[in-house]
Amino acid sequence: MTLNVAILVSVGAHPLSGLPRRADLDARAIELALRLVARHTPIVLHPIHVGNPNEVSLRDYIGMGLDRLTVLDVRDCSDPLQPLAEHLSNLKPAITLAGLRSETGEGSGFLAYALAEALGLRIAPSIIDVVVEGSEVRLVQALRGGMRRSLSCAIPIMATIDKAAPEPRQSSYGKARRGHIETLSVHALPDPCRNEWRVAPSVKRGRRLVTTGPRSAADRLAAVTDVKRGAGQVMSHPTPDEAAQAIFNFLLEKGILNVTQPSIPASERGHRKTTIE
Amino acid sequence: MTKGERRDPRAERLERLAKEEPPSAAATSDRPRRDPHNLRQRMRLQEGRIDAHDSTGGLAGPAPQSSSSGFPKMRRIAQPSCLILAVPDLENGCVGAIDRDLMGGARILADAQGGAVVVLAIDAAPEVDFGTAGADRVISIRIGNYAPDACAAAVLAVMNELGPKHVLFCDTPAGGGDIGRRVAALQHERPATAIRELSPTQVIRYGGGNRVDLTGDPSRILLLLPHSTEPLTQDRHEALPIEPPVFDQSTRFHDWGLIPIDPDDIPLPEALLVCSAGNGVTDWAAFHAVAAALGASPAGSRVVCDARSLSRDRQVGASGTSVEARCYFAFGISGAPQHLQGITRCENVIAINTDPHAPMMRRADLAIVADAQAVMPALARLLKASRDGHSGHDA
Repeated sequence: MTLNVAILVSVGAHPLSGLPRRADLDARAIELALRLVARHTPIVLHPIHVGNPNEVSLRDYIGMGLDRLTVLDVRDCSDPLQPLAEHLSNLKPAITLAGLRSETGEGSGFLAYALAEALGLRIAPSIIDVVVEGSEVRLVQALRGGMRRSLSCAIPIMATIDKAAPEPRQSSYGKARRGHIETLSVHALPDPCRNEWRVAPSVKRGRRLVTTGPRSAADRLAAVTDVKRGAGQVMSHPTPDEAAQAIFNFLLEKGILNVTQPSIPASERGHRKTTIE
Repeated sequence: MTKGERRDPRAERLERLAKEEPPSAAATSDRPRRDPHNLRQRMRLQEGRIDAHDSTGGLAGPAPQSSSSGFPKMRRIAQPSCLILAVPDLENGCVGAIDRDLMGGARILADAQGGAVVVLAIDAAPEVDFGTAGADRVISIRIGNYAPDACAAAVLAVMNELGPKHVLFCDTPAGGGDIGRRVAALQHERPATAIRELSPTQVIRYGGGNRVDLTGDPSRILLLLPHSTEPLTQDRHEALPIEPPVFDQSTRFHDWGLIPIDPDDIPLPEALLVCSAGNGVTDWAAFHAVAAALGASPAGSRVVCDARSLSRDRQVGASGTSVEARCYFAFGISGAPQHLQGITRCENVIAINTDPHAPMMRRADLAIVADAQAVMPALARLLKASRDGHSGHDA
């Protein structure tokens, strides 16, 4: 049985120069899709972009090893939801991958949710690995603090890709030139919500200072010049076992021991990467 | 030399100033005359002065009263004009910093129009106090496993029952950001995402790539970035429990739980537990053993990375990485300012050092004056024993 995998790609912007490039998260989605092809052969990839088919940076995706890219020709910042929903309802992909947020435009990360609602798909956020197991997919989800969760779900499914997903492969210039961009003309309506927001270049603001309770000048001075004074417990020259017990009790009291992720036993790990020796 | 009482010029000056008439209008003009010199003198004398022999720490003056007692005043909002619903992430069932920020944001919106903050607590630990975070009402529900669709159904049920003016979520990719977008999609309305500044009349949020700011009116569904609003510090609220509505608990996901991971693979800025070594560590096998027993990511100061005992990407401090761990273990680290700079955002610090006067020992929440070489194996043994089923308390 052949599986259709759709990947929604957008045009990115370099974080410093703002020049168009492949969007990082979308490139990671393509990378995951290419790894899926390597694992399960009967898979057809359908990379889809909604926007201007003449955009040069779209070739960067093709250069990663795709044969073709479908572009739904939508200009003037019209709403991509409806043409995309129509296209996907004809294609009926088992798995749809997209980056968590786009690097240009509104970048709300909402399109995937609106699409999933329109098409009745399940949606899994922040995914870094996808494995197909019969009519199910096994997903790995990235959580805060380097933690990972394993999920499974029946297809069809939409997954949004996190920045912890595998690094995207380089784009090859020759492959990028040889690939084919297929343009479909579609009808799109103007986005009704676009004028509700005023757009201005972002001004970076300083990190928020911690302010708790009434503060005098003396407190503020102490906060800048002094490390915390007399707040912690001190143990002087305990035996090693007493010290270990004190640390253990401290961890229990603060509820730190029960939050940690199960870790791989040291015997099963590969060569320790943190040590150079 | 001189007999009689010693003069106290300061008291004399105070007395003189008190006797003096307050500055009156000058005869030649109708405008009241200012005497800046006199004013400054009065202010300076009333403020108190620096006394080097004062045991309270140097600067004498009125001590802040309410900061020590926490939240002294209870605010009750019996007849709210509107409701603001906040859905905190509640990682591990506790109210974290981002949840406090979120409820602070909900308070901004509620206080501007005499409204009340309703918190929907999903899988909160039973002892959690939402009153100090700013909740007027609390709805507690249990879902258990990872079930974002059931969470969205619960939020929707609460929205249908209470009709809140705004619904706030933390914009975290796998947490509130996901549930908020689900709710918005179910309601067919646009959420305001990646909000970095919130006021009752205006919202500033990041556009794509965080390169543009989008400014507009607050929409109904608001997704706040971490650290975008201030947590509540002054009063406490009553956190009255409300009966939860009925909602569809079913989910389309199967949760297989957390995957065992190699703590070495976690990038340092993300790590929740960091076990760090300094110049006082010589037994590297014991250090790695205790890091593995804790499930903590190994790290080190500049000295040990320079000595190539650890790789460069494991360096903590000004020229390395800034860590945001829940607990930071400092074995044999004296705590140079550059190193302390890298751990300013750690919640708890445990320091083990032979020098009781090291700056790291002042920074630590638990400081142990001992040799790291002796403590590390003892701690690894204790952790292993507790994992194997012994209680650990009476070891």
